[in-house]
Amino acid sequence: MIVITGSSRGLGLAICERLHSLGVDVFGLSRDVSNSAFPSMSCDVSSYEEVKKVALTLKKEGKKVSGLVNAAGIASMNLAVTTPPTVSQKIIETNLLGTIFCCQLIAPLMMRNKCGSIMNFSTIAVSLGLKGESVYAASKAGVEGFTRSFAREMADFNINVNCIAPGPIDTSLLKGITTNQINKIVSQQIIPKQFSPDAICDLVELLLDARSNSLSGQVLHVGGA
Amino acid sequence: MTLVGLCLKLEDFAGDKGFEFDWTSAQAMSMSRSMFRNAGSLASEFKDQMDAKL
Repeated sequence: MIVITGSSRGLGLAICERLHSLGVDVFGLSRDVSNSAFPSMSCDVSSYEEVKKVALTLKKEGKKVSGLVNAAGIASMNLAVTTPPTVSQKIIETNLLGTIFCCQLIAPLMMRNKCGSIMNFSTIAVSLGLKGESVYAASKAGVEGFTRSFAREMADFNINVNCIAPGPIDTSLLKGITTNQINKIVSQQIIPKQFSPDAICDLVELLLDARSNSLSGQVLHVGGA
Repeated sequence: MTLVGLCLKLEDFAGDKGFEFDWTSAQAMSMSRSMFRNAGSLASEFKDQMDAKL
């Protein structure tokens, strides 16, 4: 079973749908699971207790978890000096602490089987230092640092931990960003074109495949950065 | 990492016994009171949690 957070929309939903269509046993986590077409459970990843409840449920049901995709995330494009503290806090809690909590609590389910693949999500905003995304970039830079250290901790258990860092992908996360702004970011990628969620799904499939088990602790830039 | 493996086994053993063994509490980080000081303190903590929850 592959556990995927942020499964109700955006990249999380696209990844769930892709894997589900391939016959992979997926389990989605999201705050709203009312319209889910695959097995899901309501969970706010920024709540340690809620994530723990998910881990206990999976353990009690004897599910064999072989993958975790931490796709839940929020963004807020603002200059740092105009970002309200509540917004900064919410971004860090969801993007960084949410990723940490899911890794801490779901990884033990994989450690028992001595195999697995964990994928966290960063952004091109970290490597490019994009203006107006400092708090968001800070949360994702934290995810990158956590990924590298956690990958070493998990290596003894034959679990690979990597980070996918996309450029601007056409999802609801880009709401409010103008086409000009998107084009400007895309032009700074090594491959200067905007990729679709399919490119991310392809990469997730690759990282779930045993042939990628030499990769761990890496930040994979979709589009190149 | 052997310690983590041992804790996972203790967690499974606790599950068989009908209680949840918590090895991630803030107390575990304490230098003086950590359950991870030695094998005896870990065993003692396991027993305390079992007694408290059963």
